[in-house]
Amino acid sequence: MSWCSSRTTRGLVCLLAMLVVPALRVALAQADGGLVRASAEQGGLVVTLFTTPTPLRVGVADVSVMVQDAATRATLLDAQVTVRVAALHEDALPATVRLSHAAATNKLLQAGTISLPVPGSYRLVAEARRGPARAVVATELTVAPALPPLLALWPYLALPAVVVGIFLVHQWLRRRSVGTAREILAAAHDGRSAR
Amino acid sequence: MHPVTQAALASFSIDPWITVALLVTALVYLRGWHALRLQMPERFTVVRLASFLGGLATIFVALASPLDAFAGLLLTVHMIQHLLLTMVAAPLLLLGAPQIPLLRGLPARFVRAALGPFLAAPELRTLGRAVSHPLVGLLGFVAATWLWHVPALYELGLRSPSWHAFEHVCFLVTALLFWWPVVAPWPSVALWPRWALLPYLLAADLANTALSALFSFSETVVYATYATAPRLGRGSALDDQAAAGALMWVLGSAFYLIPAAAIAIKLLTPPLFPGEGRRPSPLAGARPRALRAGVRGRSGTLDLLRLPLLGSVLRRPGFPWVMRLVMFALATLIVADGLFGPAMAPMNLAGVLPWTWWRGLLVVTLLAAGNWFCMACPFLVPRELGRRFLPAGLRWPRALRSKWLAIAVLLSYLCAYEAADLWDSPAATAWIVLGYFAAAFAVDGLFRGASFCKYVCPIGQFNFVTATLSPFEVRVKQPATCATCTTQDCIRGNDQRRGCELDLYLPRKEGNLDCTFCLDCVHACPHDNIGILAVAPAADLTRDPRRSSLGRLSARADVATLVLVLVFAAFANAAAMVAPVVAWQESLGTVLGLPRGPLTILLLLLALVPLPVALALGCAATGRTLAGTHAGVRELFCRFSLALIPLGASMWLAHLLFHLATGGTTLLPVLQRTALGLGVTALGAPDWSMSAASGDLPWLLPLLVLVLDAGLLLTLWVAWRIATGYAGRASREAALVLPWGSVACALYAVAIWILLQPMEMRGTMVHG
Repeated sequence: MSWCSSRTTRGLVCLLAMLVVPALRVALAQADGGLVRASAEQGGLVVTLFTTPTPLRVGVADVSVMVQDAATRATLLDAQVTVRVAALHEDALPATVRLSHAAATNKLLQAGTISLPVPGSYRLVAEARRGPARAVVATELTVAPALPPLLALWPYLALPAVVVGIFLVHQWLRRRSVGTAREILAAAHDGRSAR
Repeated sequence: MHPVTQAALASFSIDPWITVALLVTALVYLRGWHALRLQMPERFTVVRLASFLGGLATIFVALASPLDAFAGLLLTVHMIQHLLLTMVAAPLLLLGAPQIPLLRGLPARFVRAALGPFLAAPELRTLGRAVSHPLVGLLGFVAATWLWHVPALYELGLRSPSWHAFEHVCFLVTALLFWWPVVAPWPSVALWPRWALLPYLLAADLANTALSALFSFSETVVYATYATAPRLGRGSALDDQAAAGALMWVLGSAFYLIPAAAIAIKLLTPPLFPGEGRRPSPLAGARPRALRAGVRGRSGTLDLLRLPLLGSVLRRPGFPWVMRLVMFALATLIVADGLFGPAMAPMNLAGVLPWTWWRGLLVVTLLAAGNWFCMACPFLVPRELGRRFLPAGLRWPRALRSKWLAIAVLLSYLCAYEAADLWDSPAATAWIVLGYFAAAFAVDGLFRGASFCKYVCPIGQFNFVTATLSPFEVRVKQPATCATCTTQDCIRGNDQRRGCELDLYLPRKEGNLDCTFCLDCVHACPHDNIGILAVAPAADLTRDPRRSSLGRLSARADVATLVLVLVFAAFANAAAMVAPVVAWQESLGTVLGLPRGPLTILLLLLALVPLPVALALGCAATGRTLAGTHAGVRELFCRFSLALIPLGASMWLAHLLFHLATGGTTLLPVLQRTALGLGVTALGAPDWSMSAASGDLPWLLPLLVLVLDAGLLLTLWVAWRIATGYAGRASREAALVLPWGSVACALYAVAIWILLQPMEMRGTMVHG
């Protein structure tokens, strides 16, 4: 029986599936954490606001918030957290996003995504509520223009060139080794003829 | 467990790419270890296996566990992550003596053909010897550790996931080089005597101690990120830094000094028996019988019909008809909803099922598994009815036994799709399906065999061409069995089963062209000698044997033209939905005074026939001149046009995956509406918010570019393989490939441009 059909392989394939499926599911959670933008202590709560990526660019950004008890520094998981984001240079209405632990990778944080449609300055306000306690933390964000799409995609666009380069080296090495083998055979043949 | 602890422990950040890479590495190692263990059981012990898999598991824990999620908040956690990579994972991987098992675990042909020239190259061997030198290992490891702890670089790693990943790669690679002389994984040869490893390890410990002392005794927080991060618990950022330094000091020293002590003890202990300590022979403990058994076990090609569960289902004679009836029922629903349902395409089964779902799944299935959609074709039902009610005795006209008629039908279909916006008209879609039913009924009701599939059906031609890239093929298992066969049931049929109605005689069948995967030959063969076997994708395109019912493809200008139409249709179809092309077409219509419909047809016909044929003929003529080959332009045109199939298929896949990803959820409310219409309330009321195009999908564009990358590379490879058959010298091969490669690169650039344009969200609704 070929090794490929052995029980071990089937078991490993099952293991692969078992690990990859949750991996894909977990990967759907957005990245969080990142740069600490602001932190404030109010009403018995400590609220710390993070954003990622750094620097912020036009498009989608992750916002995450950690809420802690001011006295004990214990993380509070049951706080309600919302963030409002509005461009400073426009009269646009602020967009409000409710953050959640489900969207966060670090489950002590609550995370969500905000849309930053144009470059410029934005005001980001996070509000945490836990029972009667309430804390607000605000910061200003500077959003850079989006990277040109070709620049953002360069690793994927460079891949064919890299593979072709490796292939060319491969072919050169292969032909060189064939050439060397031919030379050796020819030399051996000449030696026999001379004898 | 406390909820906070529970939440912290649930903070996994699993990267699918890393997970898959680790699992594939484990699988390859295990395969190689298993084969080597049969030959050298004393060298490839279970401990070695456990070491290597333990090393991979440690990498997984370091990168995917909550350690990664908390690395940005606590320096101590980040330190543990790095120690796991450098002090635990690296030596464990090397203790598995991974070089030979990993090579042995890969397919032998791949190792020989793809890796062989690199492994044998003297330059790379010299490079390998240089980087595995203890001095390089020591200096590289110490330099990487110190450099990455410089605040500017460390902060860069904390802020940028890409730099953080690069930092981890640096740590792991330099750690592997550092531990290499210490572990000396078989069959490496030690460059330094064992005693020299004592100062080697002590030097590394000294560097580690100096760095950790900086953290432990610093009175300021070295990294700004940790100074501003929220404190988890009572400790300050400075306490965290001191703890990280102590951890690095104590654990690091232990990891250096324990192996140093072990080496010293071994050096100072006199051997009990003379000869002990000598390097064992590579074949120590070899078992000749097992060796032979291992070699024998390598034969065999994967046959889908022999898979434990799937195979038994596929082998059932009624299976294809079950699939066809299911698809026929779906087609009937599409017709009914298209004719009598809502006129808005995103609300209608005829707008969503065929154009968003069926097309996407069709291409994915063709490329991943083969021509299963032809096997389950719903139009075989009217075809069978036609045979019952009509004579079905005429022979297909000799003049039409080519792909020219199918090309004409395909062009009509493509023009109708764009000019009449079929994707936006459920009623027109329903009429197209009905037209298909009528054509299949009439053609196969009048003519013998599967004339409709072979000479008329445009979808079938698409499937045949795309399936040439499939990793599976219906083919003979043992040619020797066919040589003794006298009945030839695979093509003639017998009392129980039909033979191949597409006139493919299995012993001379090559590739998937014209094969509908109907499995008639499988069921008819009295010797059970036909399977659905694994083959190398696209390899069939590089050869030009005489094929049953098709002849040599180098003489089939109709097949080459069909390929060119399908390849260029992929680009035209996608380009027609991007804003700049739509705007350009409108302005051109204004200038020429032509309405949209006729102008679309005119442009499509130009883009799908004269342009690609002229380009391909030009490439063939240029390549012929440059390479000085004696092959004719027609032959080169026919052969090299096939090389464009992978690029065309990748464009179709990228385009249709885009629709599937952005508009796939539209199916749910449509199904809910249809179910309600049929009196089924279990699915609930339609949730029309699901019919809006999915918003930001950051993974989609990179994925589509990767698909195109694969298509371009496969096209270039096929072109090169074809060229090797015409020219013995590298310069001539390059000359033959150059024009075709240029066209392929130009098409790739067009495809990237199309992907970067704003697209029409076909098959979805806009909610205000």
